[in-house]
Amino acid sequence: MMRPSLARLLLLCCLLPAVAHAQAADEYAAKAAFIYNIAQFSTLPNMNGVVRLCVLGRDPFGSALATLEGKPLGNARLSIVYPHSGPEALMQCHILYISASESDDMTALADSARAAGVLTIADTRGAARKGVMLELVLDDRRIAFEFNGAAARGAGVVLSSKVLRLARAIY
Amino acid sequence: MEQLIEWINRQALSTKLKWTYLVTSGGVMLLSTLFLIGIQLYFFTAALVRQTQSQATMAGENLTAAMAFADAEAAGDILSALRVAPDVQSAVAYDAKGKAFVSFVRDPQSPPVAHDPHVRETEVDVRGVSVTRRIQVGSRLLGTVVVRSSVTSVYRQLALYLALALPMTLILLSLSYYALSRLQRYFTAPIRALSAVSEQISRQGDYSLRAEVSQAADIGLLARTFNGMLDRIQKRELELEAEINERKRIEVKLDRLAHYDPVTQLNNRHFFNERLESVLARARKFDERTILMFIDLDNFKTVNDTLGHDIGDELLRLVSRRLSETLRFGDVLSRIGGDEFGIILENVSQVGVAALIAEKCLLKLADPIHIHGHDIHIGASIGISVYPDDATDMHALLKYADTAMYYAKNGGKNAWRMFTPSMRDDAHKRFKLDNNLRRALERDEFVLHYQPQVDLKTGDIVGVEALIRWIHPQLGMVSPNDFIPVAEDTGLIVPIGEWVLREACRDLKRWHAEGHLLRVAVNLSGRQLKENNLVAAVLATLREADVDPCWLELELTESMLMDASTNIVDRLHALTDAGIQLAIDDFGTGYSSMSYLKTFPVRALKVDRSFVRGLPQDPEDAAITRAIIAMARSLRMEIVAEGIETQEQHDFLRAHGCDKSQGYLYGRPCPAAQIGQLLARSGAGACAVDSVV
Repeated sequence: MMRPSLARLLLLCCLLPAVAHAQAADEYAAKAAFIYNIAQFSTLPNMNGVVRLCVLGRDPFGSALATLEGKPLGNARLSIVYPHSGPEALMQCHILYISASESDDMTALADSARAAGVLTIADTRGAARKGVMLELVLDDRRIAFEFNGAAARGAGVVLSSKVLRLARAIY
Repeated sequence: MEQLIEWINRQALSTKLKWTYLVTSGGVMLLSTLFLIGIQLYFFTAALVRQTQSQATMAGENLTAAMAFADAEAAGDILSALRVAPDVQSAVAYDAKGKAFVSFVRDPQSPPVAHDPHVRETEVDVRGVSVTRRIQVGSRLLGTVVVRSSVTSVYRQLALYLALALPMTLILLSLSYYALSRLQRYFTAPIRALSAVSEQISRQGDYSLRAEVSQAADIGLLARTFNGMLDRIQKRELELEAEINERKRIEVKLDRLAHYDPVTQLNNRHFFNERLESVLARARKFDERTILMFIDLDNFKTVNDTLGHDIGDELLRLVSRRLSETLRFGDVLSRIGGDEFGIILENVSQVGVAALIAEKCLLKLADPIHIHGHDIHIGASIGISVYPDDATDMHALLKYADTAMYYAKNGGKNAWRMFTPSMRDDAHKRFKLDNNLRRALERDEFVLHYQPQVDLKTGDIVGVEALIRWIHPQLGMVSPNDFIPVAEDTGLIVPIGEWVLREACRDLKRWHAEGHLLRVAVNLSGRQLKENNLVAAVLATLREADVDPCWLELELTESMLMDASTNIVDRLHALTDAGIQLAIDDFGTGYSSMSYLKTFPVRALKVDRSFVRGLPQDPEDAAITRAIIAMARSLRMEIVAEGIETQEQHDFLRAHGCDKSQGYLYGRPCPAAQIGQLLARSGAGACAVDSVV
C-alpha cells in the first residue's frame, strides 16, 4: 500500500509548476460537472429529447464542456450550444450559462430567461440576487451554489429538493 | 435409564396418567411456543429486512444529490437522519469507486463492519440485517449505501414474548394438573373401590363381599370379572369348608372308634393305657397315689354261650352302667377286654379306698341283672395294684393287677385281691415253670401215681385214679396245683394229657395181664376237651395199649361241662358210645345243675372231699352226701366218695349206699409198681410212699 501513495506524491511534486493554470482548468471542469449534475436533478420546461446547454459570452470552460456533449439526461441528451446573443439564446436554450463577460446585462437577461422558462446559471458574484436562478460559488476550493427560488418558480424550473438542501443560500 | 423405567413402573396408575398428560401437554405447549417464536422471528426479521431495505432505499435516494455533488456534510446529515430509526446500527455510503464516503454509526464503540459493497443486496445474519442500495441518478452510478440494522429489537421482542408465554404455559399446566387430579379421582374411583373391596376381603376373609359394578365399559368389565372370581373363590371356600368339616367328623369318628368301645360306650384298652400313662406321669410329678383295678366278670362266657351275644352285650352295658355308678366323677372306667374292665382311681389318699371301691363294685354286681326275662347272676373277680406301693412302672402295675385278679378268680371267684409281693414270686415261679414244663416231657420228668378206689361192699380194690407228678431235677417234686394251671394256659396240657393216658393204659394192661381186673380213672382237662381229635386220640391210645375202653374212666369237672359247647357234647357222646365211662369230679362244689346230669352221658359222680370231711358228725355234710347218693342212685349213676380218712366215714358211706371210696384210709397215691404189689397182696394196707395230694 505504501508504494502507490509514494508514487502519487512524487507525481504531484513534478507537476507543481503547472498548478496555477491547472487550477483554473480544474475549476471549470468541476463547474462543468456541477452543471451536468444540476441538470440531472432539474425538471425543465420545453424539453424535447434534447437539452441544450448554452454558454452566453466568453466560454471559460475550455474543453471541459465538450465532454458533456451527448451525455444522457433522463430520456434526453445534452447538447452544447454557443448562441451569439441573448435573445437567440433564450429562443433555443434550456439551460443558459451566463458568462462573466455578460454580467452587465445579467439582470435583464435573467428576467427574460425567467419568462422563457430557461434555467439560468452564472458564477458571477451576486448573480443570484440579480435574478439568476443558480449562482456557482467557489467556496474553499469546493463548488457551492446559491439558488433563487422565486426566479426558478417563475420560469417553471423545478430543482430537486435533494439538490436544494445543498444550496448555500436560497432567495 | 433402567432405574427411571423401574421408578415409572412402580408409580400408581393415576400418577402415570398425570405425568403422561403433563409431559405431552407440556411438550405440545413448548413445541407450539417454539413454533410461534420461529414464526415471529421470521416475521420480525422480515419486517426488519423490509424496513432496512426501505431505509436504505430512502437513504440511497436522498443521498444522490449529496453524492453527485460530493457533499460529504450533506451526505452525513442525510445518513444521520437514520438516527431516528432505532434498529439502524450503522449506515455507510460508498462512492462509485467503493471507497467509504460518509458513515453513520449509532454506537461509536462498535464501528461498522467493513463491508464489501458489491455483495448481495440483502444479507441476514444472526446479529443483523445488511441492505446494500445503489446510489444513482438515472443510469449513472454514484455509489452504494449499506444500511445495517441490528436484530436486537427482534430478540428483545421474542424475549418479551417468551417472558409472557412461559409463565402463562406454567400457569396453564398447573391449572390442567389440578383439573386432571380432580378428574382422575373421578376416573379412578371405581378402581380404588375395587382395591378397597379386595383389601377388605383379604383383611376379613369374607368372600361374600362384592364390588360395585361401574357403568364404564372397561372398569365395569373389570368389576364383573372380579366378582366372577370372587364367586369361584367363595364356592371353593365353601367346598373346602364342607370337606374340612367332613374330615373333622370322620376324624372324631375314627378317634371314637380308636378310643371307645362301641358296645358299652366306655373307653377301650387303647385309651385306658394312654390315660394310665398320663395319670401315672401326673402322680409321679405330684407324688400322688394311684390305684389300678382289673375287673373280670365270672362266668360271662356261659351267659354268652347259652343266652346269645345280644344278651351278652346287653349284660356288658348294664354292668358298665352299674360300675360307673359306683365310681366318683373323674375316675376312669374302660372296657379293656371281652369281659374285663379297668378302673383308674386318681389321687387316692389311702390304699384302703381300693378295698372300699372293690367291695362296692362287687355289691353292686351282686344283684341279679334282668335282661329279656332272664335273671342273670354275675359275679366279678377284682385285682388291684397300687402306684407307687406295688410298682412305679405302668406295665408292672398292669401285670400285677392282672395277677391279683387271677388270684381272686382262683380263690373262688366273686372276690377282690390286692396285689402282694408273694404273688409276684408266684408269677416268677409260673414263668419259670412255663419254661421248664416245655422240656419236662422230653426229659421224662413226669411220673404217674395211682390212688386205689375200693368197692365199699366187698372191700376190694376195683380201680385206681391216675395222678401226675413232676419230679424236677432241681426243684424236686412240683405240685400239680402249681404246674397244671400253667400247662393249661400254655396248651402243654394237651401233650401231657396224652402222655398220662398212654402211661395209664400201659400200666393197666400190665395189671390186667397179671389178672387184676380194675378200672383206671384219668383226669381230663378242659383244654383237652376242646381238641377236635380228642376222641380219635383216646381211642388210638387204647387200641395201642390193647385195653378195652370199658376199663377207662375220664373225669371231668362241673365247670368244664358248664362251658361246654355242642361240639364238646358230641365228643362226650362219642367217648361214651365207644364204651368209655365219664365221671364228674369234685361234684357239688361248682354250679351243680341237674340239667347237665341229664344232658351229658355221665355215668358216675365223685363226691367232693369237702363234704366227706365232716362226716359223719356234721349234719349238713351228711345231708348233702345222702342227697347226692340218693340222687345218683335214682339216676342209676355210680357214686364215688373222695378223701376218706377214717373208718367212721367209710362206715357212713357204706351204710348210705355209696358204691366206691377213695382216700388215705385205703391208700395214698403211689407208683404203679407199689400198686402191683398192693394188688398182689390183695388186701388192705396203706401205700408207704409219702406224696402230695
